[in-house]
Amino acid sequence: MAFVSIQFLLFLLAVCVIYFILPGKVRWTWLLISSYAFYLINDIRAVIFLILTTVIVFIAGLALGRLNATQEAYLLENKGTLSRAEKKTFKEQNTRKKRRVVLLTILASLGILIFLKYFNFFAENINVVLSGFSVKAKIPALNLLLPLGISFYTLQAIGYVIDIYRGKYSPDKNLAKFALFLSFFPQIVQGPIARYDQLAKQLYVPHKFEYERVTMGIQLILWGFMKKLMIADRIAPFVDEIFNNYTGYGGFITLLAAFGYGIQVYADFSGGMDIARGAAQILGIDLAINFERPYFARSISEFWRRWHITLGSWMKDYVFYPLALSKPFNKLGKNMRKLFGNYVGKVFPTFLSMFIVFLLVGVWHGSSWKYVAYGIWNGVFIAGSILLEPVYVKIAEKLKINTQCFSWAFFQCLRTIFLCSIGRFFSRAGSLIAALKMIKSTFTVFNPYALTSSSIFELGINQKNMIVLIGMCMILLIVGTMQERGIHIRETLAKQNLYFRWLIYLGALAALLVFGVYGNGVESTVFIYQQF
Amino acid sequence: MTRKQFLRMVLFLSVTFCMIFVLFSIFKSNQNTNNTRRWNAFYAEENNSVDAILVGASMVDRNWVSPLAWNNSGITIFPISSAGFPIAAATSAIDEVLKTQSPDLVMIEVHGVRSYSPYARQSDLRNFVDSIHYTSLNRLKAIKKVAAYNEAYEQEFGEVVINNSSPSAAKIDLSDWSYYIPFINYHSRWETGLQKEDFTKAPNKFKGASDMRSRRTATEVQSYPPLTDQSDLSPFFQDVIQEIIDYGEEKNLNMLFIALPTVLSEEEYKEVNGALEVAQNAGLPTLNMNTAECYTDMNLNFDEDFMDSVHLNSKGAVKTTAYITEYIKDNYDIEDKRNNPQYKSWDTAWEDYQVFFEAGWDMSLEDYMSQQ
Repeated sequence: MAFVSIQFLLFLLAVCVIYFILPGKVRWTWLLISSYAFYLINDIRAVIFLILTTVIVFIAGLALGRLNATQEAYLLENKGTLSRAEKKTFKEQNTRKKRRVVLLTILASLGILIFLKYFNFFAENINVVLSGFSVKAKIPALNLLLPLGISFYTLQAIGYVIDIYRGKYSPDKNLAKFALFLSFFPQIVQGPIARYDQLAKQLYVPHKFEYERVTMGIQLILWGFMKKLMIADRIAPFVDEIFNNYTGYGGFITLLAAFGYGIQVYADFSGGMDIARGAAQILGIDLAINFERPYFARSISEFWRRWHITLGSWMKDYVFYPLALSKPFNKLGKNMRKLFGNYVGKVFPTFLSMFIVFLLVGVWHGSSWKYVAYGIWNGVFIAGSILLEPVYVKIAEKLKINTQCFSWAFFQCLRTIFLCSIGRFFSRAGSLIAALKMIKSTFTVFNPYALTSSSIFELGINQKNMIVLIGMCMILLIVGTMQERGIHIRETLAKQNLYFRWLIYLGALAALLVFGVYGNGVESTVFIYQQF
Repeated sequence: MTRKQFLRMVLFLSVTFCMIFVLFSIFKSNQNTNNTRRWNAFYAEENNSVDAILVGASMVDRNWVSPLAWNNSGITIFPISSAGFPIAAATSAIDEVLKTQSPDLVMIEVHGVRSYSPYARQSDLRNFVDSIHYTSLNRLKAIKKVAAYNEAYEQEFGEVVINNSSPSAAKIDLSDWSYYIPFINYHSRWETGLQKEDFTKAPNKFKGASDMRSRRTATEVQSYPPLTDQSDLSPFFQDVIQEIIDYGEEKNLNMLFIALPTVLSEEEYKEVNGALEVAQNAGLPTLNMNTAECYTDMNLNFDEDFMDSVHLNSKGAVKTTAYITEYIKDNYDIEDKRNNPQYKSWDTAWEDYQVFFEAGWDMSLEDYMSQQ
């Protein structure tokens, strides 16, 4: 059941109607049943992996909670009798036990993900190495299914376990409630990656039907559908044509395709997020925002603070800080200080941690060298900007560049979009080699005239569709600009006169129905991030 | 939710549904096609004004000239057809007719049982169901029946492989919502450009008869010697014909099974004969126009009367219509309504058709008929 389908809307309608009819105490149970029903409809074979991860993490949570509680109780009980050293030893012993639990849990849950997602990738590369050594034995590729949402719920589960390890909150003692946290249907497909302390309490508490909240949720779903069906799926054939036949194109056309893919993936992913958040909002649940107008970013760092926010935030809390603040990295920093001075020594742990984070972000996207390259591309710029910040400041001073004016900010935005577009070659191309060839042809073929030739309308998107696409992108830009200035669109619209509001809502619905890309002859497109 | 909010919600939903209804009414199958204009013309007929119908695929509307039948006999006979009309949908089409008409005679054209493309593709089904009112339940019935027919066909004769990658040639997939909500299929017609006919009903001027180019003659139409003494129809298709016969009995319809003149292979002659035989065995009248005798009586000329290897052109259609009209006059007692002012539109259709014929052949229809 695709998110963008009549079936999903009917499913959502049924879930919401029954949710608000049921007594408050059992509403969370209904959400659990609906979430598993949604999962089973979409991926019946893979539900076992979701259940396995749920059970493993739930038990681990309980174990960690018990260790936390034991430590707390023991220390309280022996408050006056234990020496400082004894307390420290006890804590260290307890921490070691907790660490073992966390490590085992991460190994188990991440192991499932790594095995299913990366086994064939490792097998292929090991086979290449073996054949290099003339070893005939080969590791066979397996026909493994990739469970729906595994990349998302696994991170969500690991975050939960680590938070309990850190004593942030107590573990959930109800397996069914915990299962709902991991499987909540609006977010299982492609996030956002939720935190237990933010989401769980919302899930378990019954919510009343609130007219304004429900209408806001429906508006957000409508907006999500518009982004997906009017922008993402409209530009997809053009992107596919260029990337699938890249040897026939070059220069501005390939650059345009990369830029187009950037628009496609943004509209696709953020559209899916809007649908997920809108669906949750109807039920009274606020999911985390995953996008904040990333193409307004003035640097790659800022871009990743605005793009897939929950993944970035997860990486920051569970990878970046543990690495950057760890003893080995601190020691490395000190060594760097001796070699390269105070500044480098100070930022090096941050630099390296950030690089590792983005390498992982790249790898998270998929099992291919191109995703590794994607991670490296982003990591180099972000980590590099940390290291080279003083250099940039000096250059700006020397060249007397005013960095506080609109033109500079505009340049930074364009620069960021350009660098992101180059990065898109890695994430969209069929392979690393294809990506590199496309990048090469982008810079070695000079053909700006190709953009003005009418033959551009034979590359998957005709003139009329191009007009609709540009029109919709302009609306997206206007909405984004308003939001960037702190205007909350739906709330602002709610304050307008009735007839104006209805005109906007009905106009949007009519535009979606008429100009949306769907129907006979249109291949139903899954969300891009659903495949991750 | 307050009372005000509830009322506002109801009002908004009502306005939304009205808007959707309007959009669905505009974005339908191309209203300027033969199929849709024919059905538009049928719906425009006064209730209980159609004396007879002729049900079948494109052969029916190409080979039939309703205004000529009217002129010759004062009998109103409407072709109920669409391109590739699946024979399994015949009863649904008749149900649609019976909503507003009570025909004295229902003629079933039997070429749908031929081994030549009997499997219904998407376009075959859509040409019919997307031409009738989209709120009609007969659409849903036809969709289900034809899908069931296809399934049974594949069980009987093996899987059908369609090599044509065009969506219109694809198999019928009941999970495709666009069958039930045609708008899903036609909403993108804004790209090809909507026409005036999408906003106004565009009926066919000739009471359902084909108004495609009159002058069109196929050369090298290969005719095979008619075969009347052999029949060979698979039990599967015998059951299809029997189902229609049973339906006619249930609805108390006066049925005539008819095989319009066309080009047939030896195998197809036997199939058509077999289909007529099933009707004869049920005690129903049949009219096989693919006999040497009939060809001679009609003066059918394979070099001049065909527009392609299957369909007659307007010359051939005129001959066919004249022949069938005489047959009906001789065998059925249907009132002659010529000079009845309520049927003025049929007179107009006859005048228009004469102009159409003359424009195509540089010869008046009267002159042409006097030559036959």
